[in-house]
Amino acid sequence: MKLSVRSRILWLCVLLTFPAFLVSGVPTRSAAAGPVVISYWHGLTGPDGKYLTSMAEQFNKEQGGVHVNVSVYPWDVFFDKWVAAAAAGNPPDLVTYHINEMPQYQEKGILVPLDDLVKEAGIDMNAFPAVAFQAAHRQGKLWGVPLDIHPIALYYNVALVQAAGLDPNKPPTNRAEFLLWAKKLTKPDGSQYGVAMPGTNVDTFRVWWGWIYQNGGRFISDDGKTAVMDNPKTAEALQFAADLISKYKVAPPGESDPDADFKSQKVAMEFQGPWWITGYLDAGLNFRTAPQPVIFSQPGVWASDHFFSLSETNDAKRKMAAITFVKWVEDHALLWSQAGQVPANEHVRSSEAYQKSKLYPYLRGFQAEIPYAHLTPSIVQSTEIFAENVQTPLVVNYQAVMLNKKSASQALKDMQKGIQSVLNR
Amino acid sequence: MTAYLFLAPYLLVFLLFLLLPALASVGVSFTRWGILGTPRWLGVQNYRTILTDAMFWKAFRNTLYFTLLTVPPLVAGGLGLAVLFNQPLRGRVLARTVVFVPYAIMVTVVGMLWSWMFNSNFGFVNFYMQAVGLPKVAWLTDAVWAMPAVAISTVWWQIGTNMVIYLAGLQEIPAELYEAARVDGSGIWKSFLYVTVPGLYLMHVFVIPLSVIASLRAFGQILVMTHGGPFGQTYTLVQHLYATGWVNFRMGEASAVGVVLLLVTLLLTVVQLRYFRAI
Repeated sequence: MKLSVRSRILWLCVLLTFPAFLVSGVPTRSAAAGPVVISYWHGLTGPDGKYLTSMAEQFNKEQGGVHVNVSVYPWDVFFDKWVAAAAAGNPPDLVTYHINEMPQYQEKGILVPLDDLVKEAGIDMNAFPAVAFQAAHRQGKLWGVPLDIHPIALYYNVALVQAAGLDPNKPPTNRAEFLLWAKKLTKPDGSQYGVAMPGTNVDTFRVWWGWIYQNGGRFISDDGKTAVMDNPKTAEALQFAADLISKYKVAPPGESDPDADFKSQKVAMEFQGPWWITGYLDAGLNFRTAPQPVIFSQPGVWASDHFFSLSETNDAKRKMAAITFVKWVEDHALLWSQAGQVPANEHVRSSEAYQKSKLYPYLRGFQAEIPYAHLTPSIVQSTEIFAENVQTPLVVNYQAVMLNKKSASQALKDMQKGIQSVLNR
Repeated sequence: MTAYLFLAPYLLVFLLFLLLPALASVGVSFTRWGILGTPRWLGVQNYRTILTDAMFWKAFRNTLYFTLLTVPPLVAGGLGLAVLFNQPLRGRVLARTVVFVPYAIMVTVVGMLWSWMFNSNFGFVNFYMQAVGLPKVAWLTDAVWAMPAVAISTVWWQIGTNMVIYLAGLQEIPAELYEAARVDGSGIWKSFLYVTVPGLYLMHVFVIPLSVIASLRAFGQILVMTHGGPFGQTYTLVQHLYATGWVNFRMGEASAVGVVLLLVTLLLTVVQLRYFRAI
């Protein structure tokens, strides 16, 4: 008898615990009248992310129809959480990430086609750069609205440039000028280098990527099915990157943090995206930016793009609310530009308010690169091939060249084999 | 019955969040699954895929190398520190705490701390190495030194637990044994070898296999410090599992990596326990 009382208590415990597990997964959205509440996730954890969040707050204050709840997750976990939430049937209404990753999630069926929604909201898709417009489409449908476009450009330290007897008003535009600057800005005792060349940190292929296109080289075929980086033009571009370290000796070997080195004035030049502008200004650094010099025969730079897409929630009201917020952000992209991002929207870029804004002198150089920007290919395997925080065939072979452990041609052979096997899967 | 009741909270969590998912992942390892949609049966295809992948074998070799670099200092060092701080020295409580405290630090913080210390430009490790006339080493970005650097940080982080366990073991060894040894003419070294080491038998059975298991599963500190770089030199099996599953969403292959790691761990543990005649 006594035993059964105990076992009843035990079962009571179990039964009391279980509903708690079940209930915790159920979203609590009030059905009562009031604003349509939508959730918005992004992975911008840096200073720029705060601008995005405060824009949502401003939007919430300005109108009463839609309320946006913002959640920020580092990119490392962002996609895991998003996919898991979609699998659980409760995904965020709106997400911002990088446009080249769209096909992977479109393929999973968790995105909403936006063709009708943008028309209804009055978003002018022709206002976006052609590369971003194309990348937002797949299988004849629109899956995203570009927010910004971020090519990498040249950052240079004005004080160090002047100290080396160079003119900061005339940044290098070609290979000869670039090498001259890099040499003059390098001190023989190793206390200062001309340029930081990403070698072993998470920024890997981006600078080289631009040079591939400058040299007329190729990386992946246009249909996204064949790896073609094992060719002399691409190898020449990669060799130049390695030469800056081992032949010209103007870039520090074993570079692990170009941004920290530029900030601490250990290197005088750096190729980086516009997201560092505010960080360097806050650090009180005297720097300027300029389009990347043309090292080979034609201009070309790497770029990426933050954009909006909607998860499939099967709720027309919430989808409309989400796109209404997107429209508002597009119209207010001037605010976003002050986080150090070039607005994708042409209407904003040509506005006087933007061109008179505080950051415009720094953003101008990036903006000039848009016509010849080459985005990371938008293919289903984009993350698997281009992720820089894991050891992919791209990262492993690139780093081996930068550390002088492999020749450029051997590395590209190995890279091609590795990437092709990813494409084949 | 009451005992089960008290165990229930732990067992429930263990079942729901450890045992069931672990069993499920064995099932998943035979399928193609990307979290969304229904898993598709593949048989042993995933095992074939991962076992023919060069990155898997690189991670496998790196994992064994990391284990070899960390376990001997973790065990011998832990034992040495325990013996040292078991002596009636002044400030030994403080010293024990100093050695043990790193273990309480979160793994990401450990990674960040050592990233700074090993930094090739402003890290203090290089500062002191140069001060005593040694050449500068780009610890975390050097093909040869990256793994030892990660291993050093791991030993610093983990050694405290082993020391505490050995310290507890030392209290159990009767003082008469040392006295008898001294009477028989053995010095400090011989007493250590023939009284202390065998006297800690039960501790060895616990400490050594657990250190091996922890090293085989190393992940967080390496991810923070090197991301598995430079060019895969510190890429371990759990990182391979993470990248396959959570970056590339190939849950089937990731689960297969997990199962292989489990089998390797099991094998090594059985070998050790057989050696200690514990099973």
